[in-house]
Amino acid sequence: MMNPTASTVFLVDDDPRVVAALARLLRAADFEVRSFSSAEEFLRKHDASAPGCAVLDIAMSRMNGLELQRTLADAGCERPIIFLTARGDIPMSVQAMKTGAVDFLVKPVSEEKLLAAIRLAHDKDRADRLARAALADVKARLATLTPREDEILRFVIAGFLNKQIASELGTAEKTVKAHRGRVMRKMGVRSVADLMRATMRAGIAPANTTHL
Amino acid sequence: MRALWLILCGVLALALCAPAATASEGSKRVLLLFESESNLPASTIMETSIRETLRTRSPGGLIIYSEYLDLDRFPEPTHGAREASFLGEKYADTAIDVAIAIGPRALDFILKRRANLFKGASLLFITIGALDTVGHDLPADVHGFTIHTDLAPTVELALRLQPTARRLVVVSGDSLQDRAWEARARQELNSYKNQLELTYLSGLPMADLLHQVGMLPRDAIVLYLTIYKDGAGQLFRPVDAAKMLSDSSSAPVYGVYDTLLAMGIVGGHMDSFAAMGRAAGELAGRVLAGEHVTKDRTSSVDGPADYVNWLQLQRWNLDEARLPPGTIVRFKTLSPWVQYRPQIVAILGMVAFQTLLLAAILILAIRQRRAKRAVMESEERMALAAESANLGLWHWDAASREFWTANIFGPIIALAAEESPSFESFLARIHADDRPSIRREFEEAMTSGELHQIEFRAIAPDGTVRWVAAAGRLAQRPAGRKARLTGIVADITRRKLAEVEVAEQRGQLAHLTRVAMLGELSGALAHELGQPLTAILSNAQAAQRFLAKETPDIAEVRSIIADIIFDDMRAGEMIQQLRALFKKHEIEREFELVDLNRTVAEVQKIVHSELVARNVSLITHLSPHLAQIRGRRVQLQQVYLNLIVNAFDALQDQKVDDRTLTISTAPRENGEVQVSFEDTGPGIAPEMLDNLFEPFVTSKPLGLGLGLSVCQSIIRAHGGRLWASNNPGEGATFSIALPRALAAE
Repeated sequence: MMNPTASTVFLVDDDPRVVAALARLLRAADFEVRSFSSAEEFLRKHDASAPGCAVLDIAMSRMNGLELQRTLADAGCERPIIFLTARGDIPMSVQAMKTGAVDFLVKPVSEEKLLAAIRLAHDKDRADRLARAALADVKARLATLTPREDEILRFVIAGFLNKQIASELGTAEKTVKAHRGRVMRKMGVRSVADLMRATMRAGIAPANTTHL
Repeated sequence: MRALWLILCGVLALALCAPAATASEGSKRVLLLFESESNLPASTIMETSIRETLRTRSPGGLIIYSEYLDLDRFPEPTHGAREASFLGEKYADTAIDVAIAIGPRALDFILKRRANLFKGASLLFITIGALDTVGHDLPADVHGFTIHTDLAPTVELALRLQPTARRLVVVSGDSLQDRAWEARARQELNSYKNQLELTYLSGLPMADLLHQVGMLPRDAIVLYLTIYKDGAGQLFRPVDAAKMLSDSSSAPVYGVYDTLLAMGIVGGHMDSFAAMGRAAGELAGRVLAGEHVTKDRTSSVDGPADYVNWLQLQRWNLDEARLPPGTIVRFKTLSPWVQYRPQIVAILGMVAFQTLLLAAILILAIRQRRAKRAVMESEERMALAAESANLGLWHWDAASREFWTANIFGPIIALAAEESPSFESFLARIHADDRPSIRREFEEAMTSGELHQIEFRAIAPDGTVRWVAAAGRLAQRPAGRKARLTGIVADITRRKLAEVEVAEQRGQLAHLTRVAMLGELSGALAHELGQPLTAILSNAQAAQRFLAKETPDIAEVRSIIADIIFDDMRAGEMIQQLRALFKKHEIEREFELVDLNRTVAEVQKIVHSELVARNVSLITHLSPHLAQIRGRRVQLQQVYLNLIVNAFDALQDQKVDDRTLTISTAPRENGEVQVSFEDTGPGIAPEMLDNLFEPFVTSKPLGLGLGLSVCQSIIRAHGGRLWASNNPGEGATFSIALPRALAAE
């Protein structure tokens, strides 16, 4: 289930000796590591699509860790982040966690804590990626539906029976049934429950049911 | 022909007068015939001077007669006839050799009766004014003088004395003569009518006249002619009238008769009656001596001149300097100094000489006594002053090498007990460390002449160390003799201890503020230590992992250990530096050489992460040619840190892009070294600029207000200055100037 080599740790710290030491430790623990000596270098070089987490030092000159986190978020990068700091200020850690950091570790950090946090982050990344992939699949399938099929889909996930849909749309129940079959096939689901789960994840709104 | 006739006449006269002549054998007879009364001053003066002149010229047997016609008071024609018959009878038997007519009417009187009266007498005359009263056709044998009474020169004189005068008031009486005078004046003064306002006060009753002249403005000119009779018919002697007039007048009065000079007039252009009398006397003498006289009738001896009365100049406050040259000044009061100058000088000289002599003797005596007392008092005072000020006295003779001491000097370093104290024995009492410098100072003072205050340690008789201050000066000796250095010495142990105590307190305060400041920087310090510790821990744990592998990569482990050692040393350095800052220092006696650029770098390390955390950009401009200074490194770091932390606080509320701190070092022109901390904050409030460095002044809500005050005292203890100013643009600059270390040090 967990495959460390599949994910990369992106290390960012403006102290080269700290980066080198941390990278050495993580490599010895069989992690794929990429090191950056500043937030700017990281933004310039890092591959957002590569799976893995980021370990950021907070106190970096010019752009600091928290600013880098914000910049990544603004760019739509959802890579899990672990913050390292030598000063452990409470207000700063609260802010870091609020903005979605996986962990906030105080230097000097022990191997156990660091590796545990990285593993947690990688799991989160993987889960996030799977979720994002599933969503993308649903969205792609939805895009293949005709307007009529989309209309019928919204009635179906709102819990309407074929007969009700036909009367709403002023068409024959048989026609509704045929459309419904095509929707189920295009969406790649077998049951209405599966369809509802997929559409909910994609944020598709059910048809307006006030008529009932 | 005429001469012959004269001689003939003379012979005839002698023949006729023979009986009378016998009474006074060989005597000459002169008759003075005055037209006036006998007590008219002019007449009196002339009579006196004629008589005196004649007597000196003709000493032997001269008989002089005087007759007064009194024509002013008796102007009626019958009076003349009466006088003629009286005189004819009176002198019937008295042969007159020379008759002198005084006054035009007297001349006229004789000329008309020459055939019967004073027959054979030579006729001479003195008239006043022009001759027109007697006509121009005088016989050739009649000679005499005319007294000038020109008015215009008198007015000129008055105008010289009163240049601002605009009014001329001419005063005269109501008699025939007065009226004749007035008529003449109107003619002679006509030319002044454009220049001056002319007023004629003629023939007024005396009371009216005096009232009118009393109302005149001060700068008017009053010209007095004559008053024999006033408008009310009252008779006056002109001199009396002049006196009344000048007493009443509110403006200066001028006149043309010299008799008036004593009667209150300021002056005038006039002939002297006395001179006229003398001239007439001379002429008569010549005639009596048988001299042939021609054409002397209008010449006068001295000639008319400007006369003034000095007293009247004073009365009217008229400037003597304005008088025309040649003016004759009468009645000038001479000061005793002018009159008896040589006598006064001689007497004063004598008195002064004697006084000086006496004074000199007295002063010498007093001085001698005072000097004696002064020497005694000075010695007493000196001893008392030295004793009460806890001072010792010393002198050091260059020639004898003797080192003499007095008073407290002994107790301090116990020299007095020695039999013949020398400079060497003095040095022996001084702390060994201070000895060489003291010897140098004293020997230099012998040549430079001054021993500036020096402080040194002496060993007291009981073995304790005492701090001593000494100062001195080269005593003045006669040329050729060797110098002697004289001075004082004082026990300053108590002061020194107090200084040490103060320094200790200052040091404690500096330490407290330093620790407080480091507290503020604790986050940054944690970071600076956290970094190397992180690297060390990570490296160590990585090594563990490497070693746990089946085939450990020894090379990798070796490089890991090298890294660990490096980072450990890095952390150690930082701790070392912090320890120095946290440490409570002993009083440091000696300064060390400090490179202020290096101090910037050291401090920069400490605050690095604080800069990052606060988003402050630090720019440094460090001069590569910076001289070192002498100082205490840790205290200077403290000052730097304090100024940087202050800048952080100032920058806190600025925009992130606008938080810059610039640290610059530069040599100053005067040889000092300057370090500046320039921030882009809001600047210092003007009301705080003045007392920024005073203790307990702070702009921070939680500040103690000691930081800058301590910085100030640290920099001062380094002989430097610390000051603050607002930048022209934004923010403030704190600057430190410190004296550079001398090259020799």
